[in-house]
Amino acid sequence: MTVTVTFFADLRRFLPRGVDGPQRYTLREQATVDDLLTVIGVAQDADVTIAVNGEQAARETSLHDGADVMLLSPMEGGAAAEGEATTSIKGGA
Amino acid sequence: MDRYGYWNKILHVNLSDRTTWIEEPGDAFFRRYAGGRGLIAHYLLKYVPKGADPLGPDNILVIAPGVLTGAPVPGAGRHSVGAKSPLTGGFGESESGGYWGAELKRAGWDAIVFHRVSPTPVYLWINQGAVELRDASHLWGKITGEVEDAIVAELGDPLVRIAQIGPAGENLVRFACIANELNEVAGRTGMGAVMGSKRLKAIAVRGKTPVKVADQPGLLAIAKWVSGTMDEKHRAFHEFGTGAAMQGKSLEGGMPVLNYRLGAADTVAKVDAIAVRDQVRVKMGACFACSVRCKKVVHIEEKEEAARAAAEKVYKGRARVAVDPMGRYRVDPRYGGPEYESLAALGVNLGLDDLIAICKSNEMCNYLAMDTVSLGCTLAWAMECFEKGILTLDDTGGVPLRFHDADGVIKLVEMIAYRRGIGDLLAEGSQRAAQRLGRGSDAFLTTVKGMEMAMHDPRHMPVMRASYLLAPTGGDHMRQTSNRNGLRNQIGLCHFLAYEDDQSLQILKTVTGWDITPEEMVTTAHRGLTLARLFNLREGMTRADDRLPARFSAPLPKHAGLTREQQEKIVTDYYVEQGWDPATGVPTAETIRELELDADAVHAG
Repeated sequence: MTVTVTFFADLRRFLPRGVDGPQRYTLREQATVDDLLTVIGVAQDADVTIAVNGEQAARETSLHDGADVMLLSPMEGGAAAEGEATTSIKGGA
Repeated sequence: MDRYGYWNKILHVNLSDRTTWIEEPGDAFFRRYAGGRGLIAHYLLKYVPKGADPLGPDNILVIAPGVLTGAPVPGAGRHSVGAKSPLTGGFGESESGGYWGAELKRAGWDAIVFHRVSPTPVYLWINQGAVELRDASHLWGKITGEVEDAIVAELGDPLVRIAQIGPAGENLVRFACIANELNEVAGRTGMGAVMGSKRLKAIAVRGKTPVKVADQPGLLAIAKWVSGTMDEKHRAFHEFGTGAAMQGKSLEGGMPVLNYRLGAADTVAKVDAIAVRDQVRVKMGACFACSVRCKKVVHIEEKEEAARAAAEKVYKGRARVAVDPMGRYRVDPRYGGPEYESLAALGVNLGLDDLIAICKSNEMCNYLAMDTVSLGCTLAWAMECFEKGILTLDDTGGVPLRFHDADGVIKLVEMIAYRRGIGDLLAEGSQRAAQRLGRGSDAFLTTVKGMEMAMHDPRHMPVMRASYLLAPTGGDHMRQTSNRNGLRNQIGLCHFLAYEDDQSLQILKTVTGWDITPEEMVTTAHRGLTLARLFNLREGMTRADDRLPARFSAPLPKHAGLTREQQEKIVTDYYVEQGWDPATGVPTAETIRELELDADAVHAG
């Protein structure tokens, strides 16, 4: 299957130099977000916020053909130092 | 001996009798305080009497670059401004970038301390070693762009760098800022109001002497590392500046929306840094010696013809100039463009998705010289009061204070700067305004120690909790409480540069020639923070001030509220880490001794 990935903020470092806009990746059937991140080269312990078709997703989330994936970092400005993690969505109220 | 990184020359200016003198405090002084917070807190303790009115003659205004400022390496363009804060009543300090701080160092000065009050408006002209106070009566009341033009024409040198207040500082708006080069600001804690209270309109500087560097090839290697790793380390800043992560923040439920109540907005993508690039940005700007170039410049015209003409004549076809489709606003590129904090504080947190209006209010805050964060949060507080019927049209003189009203915000920005109508109350900042208004309006505050918190929700981001609870300036998101950022403030190194700590150490060594260890860097940061703590304690702050406002005890849809116990633990742990009394946060005698602050502590009683 093929998915489209948009990289935001710091994660744009995974884009090839000079490239902008969404990138297409071809994955095996039943692939998860985790599989996609491995293909892209995002480390296992990286602090990444993931959205699939606009909804927040986890690394275990299954992908489907034609999915729109957004990879984001929620860090910003003065917060963007040392790559410290934000809270996980799972720990929320 | 040879001296690198600093000149051992601090300029003192008595604005009352117009005398100036030079202090040469010696090498140990610069190694002990480094600059920024350390130097500011030292002078505040020494010169400002306990209980002094922040807007009275006893306050001082300190301009403090660091020992790295002006050295030719990315990130070394920072300077700090400090005084007793009219917003918090405690340690006031704010940082700025651009070129002004480096210019001051290149003029041969390490810092300036302004004392007392001028009887009439003046500006200071520093031309290398020559210093002159000049009449500024004709500049009083003017916006920053007009003042910049007038001073450059008067001095006949287009390369002069100018730091100045706008009408907001003259009118003692408690969150007035100091702008340099029109588009960089020392934004927080109301330093512009202190400058205004001294009737000091501007400081113009021209410097032609490069800062001396101990190991030039070593420093060049670090500068080259920054350019060589741009894609890997600074790509987002380089391409977008701040504000490219807003969609992620909103998706995680941590975006300040409608006075920090919602955590998410489906309109964020309309006003983030990606939208800025695609719709209104004409170029990126840089600070002194920095290859990251993270400063947005936006240009919007009211009419299509003007936009086309500007694109052709000014940008030679290399940029498209935006048009306000409703023909309402022109946004002048001289005033830069909105950072993340401004996009959020003047935009999303007020329920706005009108990017052009946000760029306009940001431009106005720059030319009137006000802090966008405190202004935006004060408006958000007032709008929630209005929504709940606590502030009424009778109180506001018929001016509605509504979320989602972009054009209304533009009007309010001006009313606050000139203290017109309801703007007079809001110019006091949200905490003082709530105290005056009463009626339970303090429940909607987002202030710590009287200063409005920045646009990072501590319920969402644990890393922000200690910053807001314990920053000596109050609701500060720059994590000044950490060793890393605490030190960078003092030495004059930008927080946005992705230097590892060993690289910062290397930069410090190559510039100053000091044989400095990682442990000494930590000690320097602790010293600055402890000095600021001593000042706050002396001015009456206690542990009770190290607390978040009630709003943050309530949950967001995706994040739990922060309990009193959680906050108390963070505070106690930090006191212990800094060597302060675990119960009261008073620096212990042992810590004072270890940090060599005995002489400063004499003024802390």
